Amino acid sequence: MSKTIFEVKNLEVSVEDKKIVNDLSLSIKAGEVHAIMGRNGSGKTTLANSLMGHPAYTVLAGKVILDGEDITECSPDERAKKRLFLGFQYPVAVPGVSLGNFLRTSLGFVRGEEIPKKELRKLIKSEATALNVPDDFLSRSLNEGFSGGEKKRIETLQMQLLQPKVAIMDETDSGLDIDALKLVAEKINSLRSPDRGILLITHYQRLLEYIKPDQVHVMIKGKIVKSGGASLALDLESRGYDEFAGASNG
Amino acid sequence: MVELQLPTAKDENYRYVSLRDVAWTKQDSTTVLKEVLPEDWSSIDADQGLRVLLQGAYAKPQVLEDKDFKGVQLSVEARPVFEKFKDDFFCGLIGEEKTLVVKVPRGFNSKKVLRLSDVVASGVPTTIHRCVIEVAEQVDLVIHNDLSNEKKANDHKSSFVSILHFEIADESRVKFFIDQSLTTSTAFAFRHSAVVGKNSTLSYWGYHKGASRGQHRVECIVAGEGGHSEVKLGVRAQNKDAIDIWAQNYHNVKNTTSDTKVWNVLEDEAIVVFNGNIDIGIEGLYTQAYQSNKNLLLSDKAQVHSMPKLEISTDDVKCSHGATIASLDSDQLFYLQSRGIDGPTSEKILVDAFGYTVLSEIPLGSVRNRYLGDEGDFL
Ligand SMILES: Nc1ncnc2c1ncn2[C@@H]1O[C@H](COP(=O)(O)OP(=O)(O)OP(=O)(O)O)[C@@H](O)[C@H]1O
Ligand SMILES: [Mg+2]
Repeated sequence: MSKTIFEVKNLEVSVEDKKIVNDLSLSIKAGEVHAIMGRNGSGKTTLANSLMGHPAYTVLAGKVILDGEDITECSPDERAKKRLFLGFQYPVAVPGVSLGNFLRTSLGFVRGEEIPKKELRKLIKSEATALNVPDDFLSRSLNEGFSGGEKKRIETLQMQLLQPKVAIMDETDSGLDIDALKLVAEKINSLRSPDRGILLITHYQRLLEYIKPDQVHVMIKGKIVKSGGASLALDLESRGYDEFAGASNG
Repeated sequence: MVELQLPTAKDENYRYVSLRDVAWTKQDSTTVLKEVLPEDWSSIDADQGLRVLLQGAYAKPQVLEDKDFKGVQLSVEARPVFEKFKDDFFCGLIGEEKTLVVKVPRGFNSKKVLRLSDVVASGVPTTIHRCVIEVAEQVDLVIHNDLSNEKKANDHKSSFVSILHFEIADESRVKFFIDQSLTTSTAFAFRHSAVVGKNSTLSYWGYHKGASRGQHRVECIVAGEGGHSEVKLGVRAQNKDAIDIWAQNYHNVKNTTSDTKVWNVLEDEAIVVFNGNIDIGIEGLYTQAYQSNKNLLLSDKAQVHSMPKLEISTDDVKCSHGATIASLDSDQLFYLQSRGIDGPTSEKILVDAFGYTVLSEIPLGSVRNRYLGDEGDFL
């Protein structure tokens, strides 16, 4: 049996004194892909941000364990160095910081070693090309003025460069055209390996056709109300969330 | 949260006699001098400097020949003067009580950057640099003025006065960058002014770092139809730095434009005062003039006083002015940190990014890299 690579235990998260994530638990074994689906506003992004250590989200209770290590108290950069990755639903624009330099800085920190500039450039450029991210994007400001789909490809590029142990991808499929979706799915699939875990947050069954999840969780009002196999996503697609909504009221 | 603070009453220290008034009313220069300089600037011999500016600008500028004037050739015939700066076609080490008059001939067009290199000597109580740059018609010119004593010992109190006037004739383009990084024991006063002729453009950039006290004034008279002035200033203020910025634009002929942007980054207990003014006279029909002031406060004890102003005496103009004050954006910080970049480095990146709009336009790559590292040259 493979080990548990990522574990969320009874997590409760509040934002501005409002409890958004409620007693949520999740356990991902190495090699597995899990998917979380849920209505708008059910708390998926809140969960993702708090797993990455966003300071605006207060963890009221619970634990986050990455590869056996409790990271609940770690800062976002420490989590990244321990190889947790979050692909953002809405990557924030940082005018004045070029994508290329940002990637280089990020890689330097996560790997914790000086990597020769030339080597880094080569690596970044070749991964960018593989994701159809044109060279001139690298000298543009980070996430500024890029289209929705371009931003998602850039998120995927970062995942690819940082080679995380656990990747949380928050609606990385939203905004991608048909070809880009395939490409991004391919990259996420290639990350799939016996020593990593992947958590996908998505609204669409389509992504899960490319990336077969081991488990699908339904999130309603900050809680996982049902977990199941890949077929659960299909059920949701045809029947909607209504029948699960009741489950969180009680 | 930090709030925009507007002074309730005009602080006497910031009384300002504009160059325009001096020129147009032909006031006696000595009276002006007394009023222009706040008392605590007494250590700076700006009196003399300003007088020279007025002469230079409004009496006909003259080349002041002087046998002691070391290392500078006053005619601009595209000849390198110092070997070590052989990439530039002209440069000067300007000592005290000298006025450098640079006459740029008609049609002059250089791909190279004209560099005015001043060395702010530590230990010398006051360094004054006075320069009049006369630009004839159809000139295309980039000037870089490098002021720095950053690498010098930090134990001398010195002050630095830079007085600079541009007379730009018609159909010319001048780009000017003044780049100042001084030690904290330095004070500075800049009085810079320009008259921009018909269909000409002045792009003026300035960047300040260091210096415990400083005042930077830029005044542009867009005097010819179709003239344009563009002013971008960036300030990094730390410790108890007190920096005073004035940017003024006058429009009193038809169809002129100006755009002024001032960025300030404040840390510790620094204070920055920004006075911006767009003044459109009755002849200034169809003027378009914009002015903005952005401030990034990294400490609760830092203070910004932002006073953008408009004075419009005619119709049919487009103007805007505004000021913003913000601290670092927590979502941007989180994004950088989520990629493994530690807190202090993330903050530094964001602070640098804030000033990027000013810094990325420094015409000399080597100087640009002094502030931006490799920023911008990824490919
Ligand atoms: N910083 C915040 N301040 C106030 N409310 C917040 C904040 N962040 C999230 N919320 C609220 O928390 C709830 C959950 O939001 P969240 O973004 O986690 O939803 P989601 O499941 O990701 O939705 P979507 O499918 O639309 O992306 C929403 O009601 C939202 O308004
Ligand atoms: Mg979301």
